[in-house]
Amino acid sequence: MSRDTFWWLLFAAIVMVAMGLFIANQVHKANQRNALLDQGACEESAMVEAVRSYKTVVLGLAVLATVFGIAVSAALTRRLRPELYQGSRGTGRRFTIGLLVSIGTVFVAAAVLYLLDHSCLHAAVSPEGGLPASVAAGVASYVGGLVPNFWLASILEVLLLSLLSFILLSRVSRFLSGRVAGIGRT
Amino acid sequence: MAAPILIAVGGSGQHTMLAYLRLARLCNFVPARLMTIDADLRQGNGGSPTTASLIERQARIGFKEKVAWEPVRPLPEVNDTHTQTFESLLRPVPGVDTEVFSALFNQRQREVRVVTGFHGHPSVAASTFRMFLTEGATGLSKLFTEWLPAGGEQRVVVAGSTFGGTGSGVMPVLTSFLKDWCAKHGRQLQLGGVIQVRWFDLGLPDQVTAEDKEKVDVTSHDLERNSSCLVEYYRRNLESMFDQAYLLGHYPHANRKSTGVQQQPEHPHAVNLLAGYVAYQLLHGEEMADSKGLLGVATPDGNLEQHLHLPFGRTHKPQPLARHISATNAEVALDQAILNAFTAGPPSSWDVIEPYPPFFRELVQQSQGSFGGADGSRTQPASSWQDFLEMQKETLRWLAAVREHSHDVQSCEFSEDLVPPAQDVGKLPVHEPHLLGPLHDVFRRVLKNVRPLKYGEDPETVIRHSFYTVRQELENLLEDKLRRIQ
Repeated sequence: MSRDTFWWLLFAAIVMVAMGLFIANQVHKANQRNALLDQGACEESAMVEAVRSYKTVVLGLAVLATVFGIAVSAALTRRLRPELYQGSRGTGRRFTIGLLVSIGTVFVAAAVLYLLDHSCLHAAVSPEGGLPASVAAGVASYVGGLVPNFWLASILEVLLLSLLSFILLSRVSRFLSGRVAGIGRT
Repeated sequence: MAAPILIAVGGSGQHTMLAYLRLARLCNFVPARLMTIDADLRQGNGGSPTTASLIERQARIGFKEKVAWEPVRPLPEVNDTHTQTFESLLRPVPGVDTEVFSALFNQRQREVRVVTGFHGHPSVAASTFRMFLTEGATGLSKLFTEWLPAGGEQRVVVAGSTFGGTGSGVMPVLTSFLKDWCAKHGRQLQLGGVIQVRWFDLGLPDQVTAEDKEKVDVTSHDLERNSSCLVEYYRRNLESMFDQAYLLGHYPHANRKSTGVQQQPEHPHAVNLLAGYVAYQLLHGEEMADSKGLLGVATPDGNLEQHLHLPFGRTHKPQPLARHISATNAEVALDQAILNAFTAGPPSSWDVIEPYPPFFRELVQQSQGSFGGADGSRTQPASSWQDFLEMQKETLRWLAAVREHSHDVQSCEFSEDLVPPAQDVGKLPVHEPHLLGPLHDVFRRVLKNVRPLKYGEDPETVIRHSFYTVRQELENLLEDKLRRIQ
């Protein structure tokens, strides 16, 4: 394994550890909330708070997952396999893989969080006794006003945020790697 | 000390020069200034390239520096270039009695068409070359006016044979003239000789017709006669002709097919490779600088790649030829990858990191070129890069041919791992193992140290320096890796 691949993998591992700590922390908080929930009813304000908290966590995850996706894309770029061996551009494939890794990671992490969270979140999005669909969607997403469904609004927002975040951070990464001597180079 | 000079006389001399130039590519050194002396400097007519055309190509493509090459036809003024015979050259000279002429030269010698070579007749070559020198030797003017400056010792090596026509006849006259001229003009000359003695039998081409049989101008008998005479001559006069010299040959003799009078193609062989190496030592080496006289009689064996040592890497420590060949394999892989990257086009803005080292941007900028164009179009810098790369591949193919043609005398047995078969040369997976690491890793490590912005403004010079700096940096990297492995 070359030195630059090692550094990129180390970088990806650090991001993964950060994501793990972040998720573990959220699970810990959710457990505490679940413990409190056992002592009383889940009121509407608690439901709104649960949805808002979930949204914040998922948005944070989206940014972290973007960094992870860029690290994967960068590691692929270092190898330059299509360019060096076939004389063709490999950029599109590398970019797509990075983006898919980024979006896939945030969706998996969000699903894990949702399944582990037994606080008012489940009650809030339940069709029976939960928040009205438009309210839940509005709280869960900045685009919820247009898409009155919690799941659709969340997915749309994560997609948009991941895409924007990936493009923005990849620009920053490209700028830095092109100008700062030694970054990513052996 | 001014750059050394290699003078190739006749066909064998040119074979030595070609081998020396191939070694320069394999071992990344800047060759000496070159001069070829041969009556037949034709470029061939579409068949196998002639030795003259191969030398011309080597000089035209060049090395890290451009190579000075001067072809000289050792003939006096020739009016009719198609029918000129040796006899017609001498006939107009006042005072030459036809009977004396007939007594000195037999009919076969008198009818030699000197415009196409001396065809195995040293006495004809010597007489014609003497006439050439008497008439002012205008073809050699560059040698005497520019290449042999006053002050400092000048190394000159003359390469030729004892068995052909041109080398056998011209070399003694040339060395004597050179020594006299330098003594008269106060030049310090160190004159070396790389002399091939007879080492092959000349057979007829396969499926030869009776008509073609007539065209064969030199036979094994001629070679034997010339060599016997010249070896005796050299035994008596070598020390007065050269300051230092090597004889090269092989016994038992190898087999070579005659190609007739129409062309002089290259005949790759281990003897030529060894002759090229000896020329290198006499021109650039320090070990033999103070030695005098006949330094040895050299003959190739089956492990040439282990016995020939040339400077390698940043330490310039002599390393066996095998290491240089391996480095050339690695270079072909890396240069091919660089060419592929140019073909792939400019780096895309979608990459999340800068995909290429600054080398690419700087080389395109300094060569006033663009990305792409390696396939057919003459877009710089890719097209020049391809030319240089092709010369490296051609050198490896030459080594494969040396192995093949030396097989009958077991004088060169490169392994196929080291020298791939000619048809496999250029295939990336064949050369990649010599990089001693992943291609992309070597690609970055080497290219980060190559900065075309520092190589001036002239596009051709920038590409030339970049190409050979890549080779130098690759050698440095391989040297470090090998040191760590050991």
